[in-house]
Amino acid sequence: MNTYSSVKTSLFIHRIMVYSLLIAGSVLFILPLLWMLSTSLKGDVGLFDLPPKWVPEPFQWDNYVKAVQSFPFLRYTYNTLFLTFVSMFGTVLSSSLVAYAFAKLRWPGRNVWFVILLATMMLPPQVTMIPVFVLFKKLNWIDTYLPLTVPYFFGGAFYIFLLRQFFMTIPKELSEAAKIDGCKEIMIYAKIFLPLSKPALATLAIFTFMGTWNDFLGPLIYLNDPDKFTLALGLRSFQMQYGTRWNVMMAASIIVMLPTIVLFLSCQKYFIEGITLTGIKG
Amino acid sequence: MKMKKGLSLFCTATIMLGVMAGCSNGANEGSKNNGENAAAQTNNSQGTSTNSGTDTEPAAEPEKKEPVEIDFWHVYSEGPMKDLYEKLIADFQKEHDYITVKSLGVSFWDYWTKLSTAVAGGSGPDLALNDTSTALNRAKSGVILNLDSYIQRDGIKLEDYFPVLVDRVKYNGSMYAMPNDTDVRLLFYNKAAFREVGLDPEKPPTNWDELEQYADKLTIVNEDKMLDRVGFSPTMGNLNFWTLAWTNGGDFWDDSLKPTYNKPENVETLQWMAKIQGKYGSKALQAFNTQNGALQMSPFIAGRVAMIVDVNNLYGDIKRNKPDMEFGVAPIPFQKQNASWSAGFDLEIIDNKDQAQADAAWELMKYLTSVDVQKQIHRESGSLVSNMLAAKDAEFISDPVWKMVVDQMDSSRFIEYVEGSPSWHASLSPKIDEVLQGKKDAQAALDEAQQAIEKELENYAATQ
Repeated sequence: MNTYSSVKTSLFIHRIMVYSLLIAGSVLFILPLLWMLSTSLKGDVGLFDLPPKWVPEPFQWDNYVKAVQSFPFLRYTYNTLFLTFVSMFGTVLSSSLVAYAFAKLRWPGRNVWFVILLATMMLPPQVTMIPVFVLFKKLNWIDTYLPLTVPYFFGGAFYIFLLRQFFMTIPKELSEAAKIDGCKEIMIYAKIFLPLSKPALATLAIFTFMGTWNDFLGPLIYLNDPDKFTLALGLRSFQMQYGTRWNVMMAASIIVMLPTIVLFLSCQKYFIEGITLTGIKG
Repeated sequence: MKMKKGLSLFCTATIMLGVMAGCSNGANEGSKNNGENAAAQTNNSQGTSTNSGTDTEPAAEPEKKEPVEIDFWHVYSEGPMKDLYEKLIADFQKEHDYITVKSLGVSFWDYWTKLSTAVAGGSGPDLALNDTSTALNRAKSGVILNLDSYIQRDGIKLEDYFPVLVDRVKYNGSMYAMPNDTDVRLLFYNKAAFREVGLDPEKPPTNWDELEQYADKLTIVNEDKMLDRVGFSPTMGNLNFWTLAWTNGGDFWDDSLKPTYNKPENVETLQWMAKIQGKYGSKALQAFNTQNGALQMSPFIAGRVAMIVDVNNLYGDIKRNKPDMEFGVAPIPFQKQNASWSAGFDLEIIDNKDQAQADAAWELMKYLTSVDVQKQIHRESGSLVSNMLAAKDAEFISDPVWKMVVDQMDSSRFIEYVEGSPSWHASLSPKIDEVLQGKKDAQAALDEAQQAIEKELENYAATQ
């Protein structure tokens, strides 16, 4: 009886400690978000009051109207969605094909090529920015969506690596059995590997979504026509040389962020799996 | 603080710009004299057209022209300035029906990445707003056009523009850009605070000793040993070490562009700055700055700093935030000579190897720097436009504050453009901060900085 209750108390204390740590952590992470929300509803004064005033008075819903009106919001949303989905499709398709070849097919020089592939991850993007830009310029692709989408159809080193590792965990026996039944490689890939790798593919799709949705530098340097701009570019236009309309910008940011939050909440399972799978977050 | 960060960002962008202009130089080796060639072509084409047309008139606006489309990039991505530029361009297109202008405003903070990448990749706009301080670099590498023949043809009077700006965009005696607007730093002082402590509000400090004495009088320390008001601090507003050193007869480069960082006048300046800064105590000052961060306006406007050296834009902020504020403006207090620092934007025609586009870009450039348009720009933004006929127009100059701003342009100068270290002034800042935080002695810091820049230039020379 006595030991039982002491175990129970110590378990209880343990729980309290874990939960209070978790709560403290989540408060820490949600504060900036709340500040953003609160700022987006404030007027032009008192944005940076110390200590912060959390509940704006009165609520300036107007900021959201201003945010949506200050640049062609629908147009930019459409552009961003288009780019995002094309990139997601391209990445998942090409990376999984290449990864399959690296993981399950035997061909001369496979390991050398794999090392070369990994080596491309070591190149900082700043180094390749200008040469790649010049390349696209020679192809006459500047001010089109091609530089922002076509590269995704050629796989990404990191995604290929990720999928290859995942494919390697799928037992050889499965594909051998399929082969005995007369299945071709491409069908093994499509009918066996892809369905088995849903969590990894979802992770990939989510990473690409986040990457493209938030990508700023790519659209900034490749797009000149304001009609082709993306939401990330639109958001940035609120920051001027001498000052920023923080409240309107925060309102716009909240709207732009919504899809990412929705995506996260609905794919949380895959997302967390992705993190444990890779050790990184998007 | 925010200003400082902005400045350093701007400076990084400038370095990038410099580096990239250098790259494109290599790529366009064959077309090194493009600017001059194009200019010569303009002369020729002008010559032929005058032959066929009238002989005396240099055909300013020929009867019919092929339609042409040009790109114009600037930093006005939002707000009233964006609207103004849209209106100006619409007006321009009405006057020049054969020209279509595709105008693009990109946020100041990202503009430099976009512009330098595009120019280096050969897909830059035809006309670009750019950083005046580094125009020489682009002139040298041949990415922007020589404007002499246009200026001559259209009889542009360069003496109408602030001389310091015109000098700054000249390379080998030729104009490679037209100045658009600039800024200047000066002393703003709170007249009400002056009266409160028994100082004459019509007599701002003129030298450092007066500045120090006034600052001591104007500073208010409360019972918690915290600062309620700072009289003057060299780290607030937009006063930079090099600017103050210039007012002490200091200099950072000699005539042959050899660094002179540890010149006695410079050391003296830094010592003085450290002395003033030391009076407040770093803890109290930190708390004071944190509180200022929440103000959303200059601490000067909030009455928390009685004297501040800042960019002329502060005037616009005062009018917006506290129109009834009693304040005065004066030259930065100086020991040996009146001096100030200016930076600014110019307009440059990027060599896209298309004569018709270059011609149209020139028309737009001419229009944007004309008196009437520059007056509109000043009216909307309060910015210090480069055309003196606009800046000194009777409509504006009757305002004594504005007159002081304009007058200061006579004593203002730009940062030296040093090819091996285009943002030398930014790399100086960390050393200065160390001294102002009391971590290092002024002489030692400047000696180190001198050594570092000599090394940097040596390394640069080795790459040439």
